[in-house]
Parts: sequence; structure tokens; C-alpha cells
Amino acid sequence: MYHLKSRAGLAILLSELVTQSQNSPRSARALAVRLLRSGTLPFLLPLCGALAIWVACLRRIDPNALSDVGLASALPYAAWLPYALLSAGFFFVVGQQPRRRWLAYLYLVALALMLHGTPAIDYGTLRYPWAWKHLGIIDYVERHGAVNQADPILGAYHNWPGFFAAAAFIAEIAEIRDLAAPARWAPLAFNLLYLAALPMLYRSLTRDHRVILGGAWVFLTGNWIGQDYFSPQATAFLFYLVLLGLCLRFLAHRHPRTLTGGSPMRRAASDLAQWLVRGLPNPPALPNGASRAIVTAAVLLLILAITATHQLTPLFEISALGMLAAFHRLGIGPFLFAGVLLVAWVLYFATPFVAIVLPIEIQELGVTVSRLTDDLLDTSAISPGHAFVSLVCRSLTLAIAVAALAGGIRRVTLGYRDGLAAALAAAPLLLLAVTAYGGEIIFRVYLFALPFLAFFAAALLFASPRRECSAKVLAGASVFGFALAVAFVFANNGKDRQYAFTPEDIAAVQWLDETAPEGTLLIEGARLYPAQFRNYEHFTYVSLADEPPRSRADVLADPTSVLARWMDTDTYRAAFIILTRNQKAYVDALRIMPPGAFDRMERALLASPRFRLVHAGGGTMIFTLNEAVHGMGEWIH
Amino acid sequence: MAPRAILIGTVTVAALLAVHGGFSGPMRALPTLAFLLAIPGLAWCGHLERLKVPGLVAVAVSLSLAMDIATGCFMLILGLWSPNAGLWILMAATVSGLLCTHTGDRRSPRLPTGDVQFPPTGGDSLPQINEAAAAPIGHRTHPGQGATEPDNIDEPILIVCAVCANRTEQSYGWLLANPSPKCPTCGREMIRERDAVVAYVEGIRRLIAQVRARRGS
Repeated sequence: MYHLKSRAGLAILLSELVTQSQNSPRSARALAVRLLRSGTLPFLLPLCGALAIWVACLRRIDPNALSDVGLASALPYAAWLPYALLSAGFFFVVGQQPRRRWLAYLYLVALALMLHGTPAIDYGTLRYPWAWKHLGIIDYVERHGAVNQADPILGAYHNWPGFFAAAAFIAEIAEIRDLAAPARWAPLAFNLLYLAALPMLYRSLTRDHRVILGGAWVFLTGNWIGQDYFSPQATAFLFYLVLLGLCLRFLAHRHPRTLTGGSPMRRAASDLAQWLVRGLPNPPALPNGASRAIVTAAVLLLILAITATHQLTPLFEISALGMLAAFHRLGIGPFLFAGVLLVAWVLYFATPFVAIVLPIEIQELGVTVSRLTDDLLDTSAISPGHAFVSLVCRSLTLAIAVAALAGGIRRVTLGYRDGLAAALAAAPLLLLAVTAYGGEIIFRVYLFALPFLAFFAAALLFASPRRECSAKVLAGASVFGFALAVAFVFANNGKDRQYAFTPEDIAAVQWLDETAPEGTLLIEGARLYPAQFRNYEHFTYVSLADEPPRSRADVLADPTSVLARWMDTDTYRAAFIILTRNQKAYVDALRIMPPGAFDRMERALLASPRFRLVHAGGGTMIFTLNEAVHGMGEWIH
Repeated sequence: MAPRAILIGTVTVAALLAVHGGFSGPMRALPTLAFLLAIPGLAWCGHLERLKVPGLVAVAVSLSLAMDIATGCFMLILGLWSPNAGLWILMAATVSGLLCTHTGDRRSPRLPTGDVQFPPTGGDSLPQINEAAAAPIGHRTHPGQGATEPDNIDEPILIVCAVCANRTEQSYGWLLANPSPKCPTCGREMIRERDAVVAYVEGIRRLIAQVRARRGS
């Protein structure tokens, strides 16, 4: 069919070109007339308008000027208008012009561009401290051509090195010296890839393209948790979506047949399996032979890549593959392969890391659920801006969950069962019981359930392909879509005061990373700065924000004496203190220390004769002991 | 040669030239990135003909990244870190993919569904298929209106025998009650949803007629 379509498409295209070339003087005008006659132009106008306003509102934003609600505090009022135009245009295109799917895809691409391109352009630097840490591992692989599985600082990354190995390999081949520049576009690139993968997955759940497109909108706006940056988990999540898409579209069994013989139990199980997939499109599975073997090999390769890339994603993947096997939609082979591979990786390759972590994990098995509420933010103890952002995050999540529930119920009343989609949405919940990932696991569970929650939420708007959408429904959908997009900006970019850096901040840290000798003690206010991206293994890190409360109190009571005592030791070849604007924003917003604690510490260090400011840039200050400077030789100014 | 093979060949040669031709900056980065991020996976996507362009892009990029990861990990674990060798491994994987999917193309018929060999007798039953190379796939009248969800439960649906290509019409309601109908001629199972194929063939015929009419005018 591939050849049929491509050749046929080429023939049509050529005939169109021949026809148009015959009328070339009037072709542009004819195209405009055709657009008008076909009714496409009115649906393109909101898109063009939104893009024009968005471009006009782009400006360089200094992260120092952000408030506790993040990016939204620095955006002009007009910057919200594109989301309203996009949402209205998109849902009316989906509802009124169901055959022009390319138009709806253009809206979705524009939405991804606005949601993820805005911070990349406005800040001009790579967001998230963790993304900088990932650059540090790539830097390590490039310098050593190996990983250090016994690394005491970033051991997990060295034991699941897939992403870093690939990135180092690509960077070396392409001779990209500064990966931070392309890496800041990673959220946009990943979301566009998710957008490309989702319809493939949704087509195995419904044939209604309005649900497919609506689900993609809900997914894009609901993916606020910030796991789509330059990271192993973002890559592994893409693999997860493509893996499920390939399994469901090409390797899935057709609908189970009614058993006429066999035991009553088997017949009941068969009836249940049939009932649960009622309404699902029958998958167009590939025939046995070369095609099926190649797709199976691709699935196994994706499982292998997920296992080598991220610690947590294989568990979600195994859970989902188990669900597919339980529903007789997929053979048990991929599930078993993923399980055996994970066990082999953990017990063989990642042994140095697992030997340390496994006893703790086993101790904490099952306690994650009880810790969830403990680890969630207590909004009464944080700054008002931060509390507002936290409230928006929870509201956005809740809105999508409630819409999904309502959509699922509506589909059931219309005769669909969607048992498979519901099971895949519920599959990540198993991880709550079997991991000791702390409160953060709930966000990961949400991420892996989101594609299916988005599907059900879209089904609330477009419940059945046989039902036309009224103008009221489309207006409601537009308002809903706009609200989700606005909430995304607050939820995803609400902590940018902590997570966005100025070029001067980055230059200061780079100076330190490239200047300090191996065996240096680095005392950080907190790990919230572009940390560890060069020569990270040269340092021993002490984060004041992560110190025990008593130790923190000692430092705050008399910073110069306590810090001087810590630094004045022969254990390290050099010692530095780094205090940044992001660290201050972090400890102030979460009330980890009294407000202004780092400002007071900074003033004390500047006034103390025992300390010297050796480098400053942006909101970053780097101190060392005064007497140490004389012994450090020419490498320090 | 298929456009896919031309694209793969061009980018592969460009990446090879960029790396071994002494280029630097964007002249090196762009072709090598294009190769490493998309081409090895695309070379193995020859059998995923049902995928639309976005799905194909997602699969091609994912498989390429997975191959990059496998190659990188392989070199790290064996202590043989050599990006140039890794590039050659990926180029070999690309060529293998092209060859495998190409020979696979010739061996297995390209069909919309897996368990139906259609048409089974070289196109005797539906010769329109053979003419279809000149026209694109037809559209359904409504995007959500699949063959299993007709507006009218009594609407006739064409079902086709996978073995002898015998065709018969049954109502949607009858098919709901008889989910596995047997062929009256040979006794093998008949396949539902063939109305999609008929709609497809009808669409092709209409488009061929349109193209011919345009060419004639």
C-alpha cells in the first residue's frame, strides 16, 4: 500500500502541476480562490493570527526579573491571546472540518511551538539544573570514553548510560562542542515527537479522528510535569509511546473470538475479554514473515533501549505490556523479554549501584503510598506565588482526570467498553506499590497515564463518531482547551525563577568547573544552579539546603566561622562556596531557610577578611578562603 | 527507486562526506545529525506502510535513537569507545535495513491487513487493485465512520473470503450476531471490514477517472 499510495499520490500531484502550469499566470489567484471556496481560509486565519501575535510578544526575559509565578509574571497580556485563538480555531477545525486533518495538525504543532518555544527563546539558555547535570555525564563520557559505575555522586546515570552514550556519540560525530545550545530545544523536539507518536497509538483505540486530535491537544497541555527536557526519561517516554503504538497497531491479536467449547471458566474469560474491547477497532496486524519479524525486532530494540536508558521507565513498560498480554491483545513474549532484560540489567550491569540502593528500596517497598501526602508540598508553608503555582498544577491534573472519568463514563453509556485504554491508564498505578521513589512517583505515574487520560478527556467532547458536534460543544471545548493551555504555562513555567539561568550565571559556573583542580570541595547554597556540567568528578559537593537542620542552623548563626572551618582542611586541594540567585529563590520559595538567609550569608562573606570573592557574574558569587588564594598558584585570580 | 531509498542514500552519503571530508561547523553537524537521528530507523521502516507521515517520523526517529543508544552502550560496555566505528556500525545497519525491507517488499504482498491474502489469485477477483497504482487512497465519507460503525445497522456490508475471494453482502446486524462467518464456497472464514477495501477501490476508480479526464482536457 505504501507504494500504491506514493505512486498514486505522485501521479495526482503531477497531474495537478500540469494543470496548474497551464494556468500559471492565474495560479496564485486561483489558489486563493480555491482556498476561499473550499472554506479553508477562515480556519487558517486564527492560526496565522496566533502565530503573528506570539512572534510579536517574544522578547528576551531576564530570569532575575521573574516573580514566584515564573514566566507568566514577565509575559505581556497579549501573550495569552494566541492560546485563545489557537484553541478556538483548533476545536472548530476538528468539529467542523473533520476531513482537513492536516489543518488540525498545524494547530497542534503551533501549540507545541508556543508552549515550549517561548521559554527557549525568551530565556536563551538551557532550563533546569538537572539538564546541566546530564551535560556533565556526557562530558564525562566524551573525556573518558567510559562510565564509572561506582561513581558516588551520579551513580544512577553511570549505570543506565544509554542516553548519555548516545548523546556523547552524536556530539562527537557531529563535532558539537556546546550541547547546551541545542539541548534547550529538547522540550519542543520531544513534544513534537510525542505529537507524532500519539495518533499512531490512539488509532488502535478509536477511529474517530476528532478524539485522536482532541486527545493530542489535551496531552500537550496536560504534560506539565517537566519531564520532557534533555533527559533519559524524556527519550524513554518517547520509546514507550512508540513501543505501545507498534505493538497495538502491528503486532496485536485481533479481537478474541467467542469460545463455543472449553470449560465454563475459559468461556467466561473469553466473554469478558470480548466485552472489554467492545468498540475497539480491529488491529490490522502484520502477516507472519519478514514484515512481522522486522517489527518484532524493532519492538525488542525499543525495549532494550528503554532498559539501558532509564531506571523507572522499564517498570511502566513492563506493566503496560503485562496489561496487553492480560487482555489477549499481545503475546506474552514482549512482556517476558522486558522482564528478563530488566532483571539481567539490574543484576549484572548495574550491580555496583543496585548493591547500595537495593536494600533501601526493599525496606521502603510499599510505603510509597503512605508517603505521597507527606512529600507533596504543604502550600501553607511556602511563598504565596509558589502556592498559587502548586494549586494550578493540582487543578490542571484534577481537571484532566475528571474530564477523563466523565469521558470514560460517557463512552460506556454509548456502548463502548474501552477496557484496554482504561487498563493502560491504570497500569502505571502499580508502580506506587513497588517503588521507593518518594513523592515524585505520583508525577511519573501521571505522565505515563496521561496519554490515555487525554484520550478519555477528548472522548468527553467527541463521544461518538456518529454524533455531530453542536456549536455549544465546540465553544465549550475551546474554553476548556484555552484553560488547559493557560494552566500549562503556570504549571510548567511556574518555577522558572529557580530553573532558568542567565548566561552570566552559566559563565561563572563554567569558570569554576574549568578552573578548580581535582579534589575540590564545593559548598553550594542548594543544587539549584547550572551545576556539574564540566569536570563534575573533580568536586566533592556539600549542599547547605540539604544539610541536617542543626547543621544549617549552625551555618546561619555564624556563617563565616563555620564555613571557614569546613573549608580549612588538608583533605581537599581547594574549597569554594557558590551562592546564586536561583538558590536564594529556591530556599525562599520553599521556606527551607528563613527568608533572605543567603543574602545575609553573602553580605557576611563579603565583609569577612577571611573570605575573598573570586568570581561573580549575573546573580552568582563564588568565594574562597583568603589565605587559600595565595597557595593556589596561577590558576586563580 | 523509491523516494525513501533515495532520501536514505543521499543523507547517508552526505553524512559520510561530512565526517571523512574534513568538514566542520554546520556543514558537518547538519548531515550527521540528520543521519544519526532519523536514517537508520527509517531504513527499517519499509514495512510500516500503513503509518501516516507523523507516525513514520516518530518510529524512524525512535528506532534511530534506539540504535544510537545500543551502539553507544555496546562501545562503552566493551571499553571500545570509538565514535567513528559507531558511525560505520550504524551505516551498516542502515544498508541492511534497506536491503531487508526491499527484499521483504518483493517477497510479501503489501496488504492492508495481516491475515488476509488479498487478492489470493494474482488479482483475478479484484483487478482494480492492479490499476490502483495511478491513484491515491480514497477517503471515507466521514472520518470517524468506520466499517464497524455504520450509521444504519441494516446497511449492507461486503465480506470477502480470504481464500477463494468469494464475496457476499450481509447486514451489520447479521455480522454482529455472526462474528465469524464462513464462506459458503470453501468453508473458510470470511473477513469483515472488507467494505473498507471496496470503498478504497471505488475511491481509486473515481480518482483514476478524474486524472484521465484532466489529462484528456
